[in-house]
Amino acid sequence: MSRLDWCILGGALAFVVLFGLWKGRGRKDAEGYILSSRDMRWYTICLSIMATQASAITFLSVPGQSYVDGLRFIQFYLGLPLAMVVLSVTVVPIFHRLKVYTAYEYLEGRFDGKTRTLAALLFLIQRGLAVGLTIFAPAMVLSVLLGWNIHLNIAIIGVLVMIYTVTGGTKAVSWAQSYQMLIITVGMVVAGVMVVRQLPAQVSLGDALHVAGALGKLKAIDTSFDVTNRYNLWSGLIGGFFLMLSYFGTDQSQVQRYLAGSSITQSRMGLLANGLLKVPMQFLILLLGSLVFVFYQFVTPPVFFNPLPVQRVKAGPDAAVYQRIERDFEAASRDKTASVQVFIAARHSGNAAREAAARDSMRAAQARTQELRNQAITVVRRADPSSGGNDTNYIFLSYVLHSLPIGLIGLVLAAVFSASMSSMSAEINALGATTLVDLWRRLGRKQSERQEVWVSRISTFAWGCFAIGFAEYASRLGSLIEAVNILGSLFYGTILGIFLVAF
Amino acid sequence: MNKARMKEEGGRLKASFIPHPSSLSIPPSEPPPPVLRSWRNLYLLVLGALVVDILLLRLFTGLFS
Repeated sequence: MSRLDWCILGGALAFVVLFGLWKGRGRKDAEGYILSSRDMRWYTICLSIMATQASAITFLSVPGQSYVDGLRFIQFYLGLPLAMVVLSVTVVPIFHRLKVYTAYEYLEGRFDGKTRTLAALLFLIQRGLAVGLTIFAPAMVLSVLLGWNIHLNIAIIGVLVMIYTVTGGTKAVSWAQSYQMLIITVGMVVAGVMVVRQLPAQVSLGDALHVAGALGKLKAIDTSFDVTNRYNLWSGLIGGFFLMLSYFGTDQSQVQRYLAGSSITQSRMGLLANGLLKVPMQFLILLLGSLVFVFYQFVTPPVFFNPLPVQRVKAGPDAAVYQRIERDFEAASRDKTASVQVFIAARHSGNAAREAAARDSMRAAQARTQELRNQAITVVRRADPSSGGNDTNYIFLSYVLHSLPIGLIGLVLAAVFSASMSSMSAEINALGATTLVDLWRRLGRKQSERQEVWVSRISTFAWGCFAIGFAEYASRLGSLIEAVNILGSLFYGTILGIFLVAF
Repeated sequence: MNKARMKEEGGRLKASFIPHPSSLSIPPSEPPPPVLRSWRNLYLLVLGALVVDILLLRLFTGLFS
């Protein structure tokens, strides 16, 4: 990282914190602190919702997912617009009409206090554990690729987020998220433009897309009804719909974003704008990964992108095997580059028979490199089972660090940090609000508005400290991280069930 | 009784009776964005955009396979 990269990264993060502090100043009552005095416009709500959902790992993992598996992950998001419409018709007007602070507050009126407490506790446990992982996962990737101290990285992100979230509440969080979404968008667009510009001179964007398509990286829609296939049109529409319904309708970290709307209209418009923008946005992020794949057809990539388990392999008994695979992979990649160039030349010639033959040859070369990569993954998994043989989180950032010019590395890292901070801020903000409204208030103590703001600040601060502590400890948890994610998934169904009965 | 009666008592929400959501007056009194005339049009716009997205993705898949 050059000095310019550090300046861009530091400047962007400092501006986010100062902007959040400035926008969130003067919160004197609980409604102002928790719901921004219900004064948000639809575009701020939309950006806030999108920034809350898109964590740093989304921007690191999704292009990598596309590099490995193509565009089919896009189908996961197809249920989202349906869920936005259903929530706009049902949940939004009811929550607004009853003027609730949290989604769980509604459950007491509909059922009883126990149901409300149960749902709130399930949210606090699930989201409380997940928020730690929100900052741990990108810190882990950055520490491996840049050699940064992971503990310091987690502490810096956590403290920066807590400064403006604890001080300014929801207003600070929402406005900071708008600015963070701007940084994320600019970072991703610049990365996309650069990857196309870095292709060889004779390769146009159309050529790149045809290469990616011929090698199976642009299959976006699969209409087959196959229950063993994780991503197809039907799993996306049905499974994605219920998942998004639960996330946006019952998870306070999202509900709080649209409850801050100045009216039902503003909240609805925010949700519906998210429904319109989400699929195209995810498509562009996935396409970025496919273009990085094409870039690596002309530049030999590492056979496995996560350097940490590779180091372990090379220090163990499989070192000779792995080095043999690496040599074979480099030779196969050179052959593949030649076959890709032949394919592009055949396309330009307009000779269909020649193009078809070149395509087959290119696919055979791709199959050979994929076979060697699979062998490398098997060796890595044997030497380091905790890695799971999965390097998707490392692919995009490897490209950024090794291929982007000075200055742009800092910009993309600012986007990754912004994504991490935006998710964490919304989550601890929601955890603090739920602790105040659904637990503290129910103890029955009469307090002034000013006292309630301080209770909310203290609980937000406590949840922030818990998240940092959990993230610091997460590197020692190993496979327990997966258990935490599974636990969260189990709770989602339960909470959605409670709300479906209530509505 | 058609209206929700929720009141703060000692910092705690007390609901003597919350009707089923279907009895709340929905759609709300607020008008939709003027250019779209009705909320139904806006919902149809979002659902139509989803259908267009799927068709474009299908076309994209076919064009570059």
